[in-house]
Amino acid sequence: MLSLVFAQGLAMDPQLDSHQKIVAVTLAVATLLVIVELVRRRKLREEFSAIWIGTALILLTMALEPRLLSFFAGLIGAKAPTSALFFGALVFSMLLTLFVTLRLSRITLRSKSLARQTTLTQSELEELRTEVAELRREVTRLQRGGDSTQDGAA
Amino acid sequence: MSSTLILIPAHNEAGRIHRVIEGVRGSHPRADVVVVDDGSTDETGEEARARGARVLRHPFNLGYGASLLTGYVYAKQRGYRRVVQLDGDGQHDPSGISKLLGALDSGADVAVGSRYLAGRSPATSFGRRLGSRLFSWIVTRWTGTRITDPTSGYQAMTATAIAELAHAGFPEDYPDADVLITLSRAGLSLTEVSVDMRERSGGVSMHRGGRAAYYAYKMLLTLSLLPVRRRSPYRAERPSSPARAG
Repeated sequence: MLSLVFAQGLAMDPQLDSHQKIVAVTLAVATLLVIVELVRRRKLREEFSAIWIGTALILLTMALEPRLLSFFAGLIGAKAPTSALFFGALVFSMLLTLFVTLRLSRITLRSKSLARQTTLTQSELEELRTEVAELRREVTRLQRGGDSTQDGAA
Repeated sequence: MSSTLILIPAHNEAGRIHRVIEGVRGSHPRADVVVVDDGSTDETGEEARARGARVLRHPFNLGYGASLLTGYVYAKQRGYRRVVQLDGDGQHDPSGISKLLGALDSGADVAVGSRYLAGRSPATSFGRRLGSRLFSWIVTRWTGTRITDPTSGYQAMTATAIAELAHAGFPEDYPDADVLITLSRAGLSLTEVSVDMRERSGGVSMHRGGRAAYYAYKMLLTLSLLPVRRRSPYRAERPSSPARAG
């Protein structure tokens, strides 16, 4: 039983075949291009682009140098380099999601805080407007009552 | 300007809010009334303004806790000495305001209006009753004050308590048990006062269905994190708040 697993491991090609290689390289290069283009159009902030560029570069390196992938597979105890690739992708996605929810929490807090400030400023503005209107009326009333020569002119 | 602020958070309470304001004005004509209109899509704000309340209108719906926080910040900025908060749906009988303020006069920093203190059994579902019992037990154990209705939104508090609460970090969805415990830990004294509550005169309760489950989850999480969480969200603004064993 054990020897069977061992034999399978030996038989498994540690290299990616050329088909897999082409797919991986294409994917990595496409990701790079899309990210760079998004940053160029200012659709994606530079700070978020770093994590994507990094991922694409790692993918590219591993595709071009499959021994790295095999090394990584051995490191995490994966039997096949492809499952190591999947594992890596999964971990990356989880980290990215965590990062995004962290950002989302912060943005939620900030937008609420901003909304509150707007609300209070608005209320203060209304109050000041009312006060100014009252003062204007008072000034007009005093001018009329206090100076009879200007009364006709006004 | 009065030294007492009546704070009414309201979300889509048109048709009900005017009765609440009239009730409050009837019993406390000299107090300032502020309605926090939490992004209502109906005429809540206009109705409140027409009855002589100052209206603070959120540009969009921020949540119940966020509405309270807006009110606290307003009260702090204007230097009110006492704040009474009651819900905008007419559940809270304005006759309780005097009792709550009376409790502040007797030295409490926070007075919680309780439905259950008089011994009446709550006419709500089993789940809510169970949750209510559980949180009541936790808060009572933790604060050393008997609190029978920790989810009550009918409360009065002093400027000291307001200063403790009026900053970002206040729970913006369902503040209650955790807030009471935090205030107690900050060295403020709590007390509970028996008040009358009516059935909702319409609208939708906050604690319903899945939201109630989320509420219970969130409260248990918050409560279990309280001892180890950073103090910053509720940091005491007074340098020497008397530490309270608890």
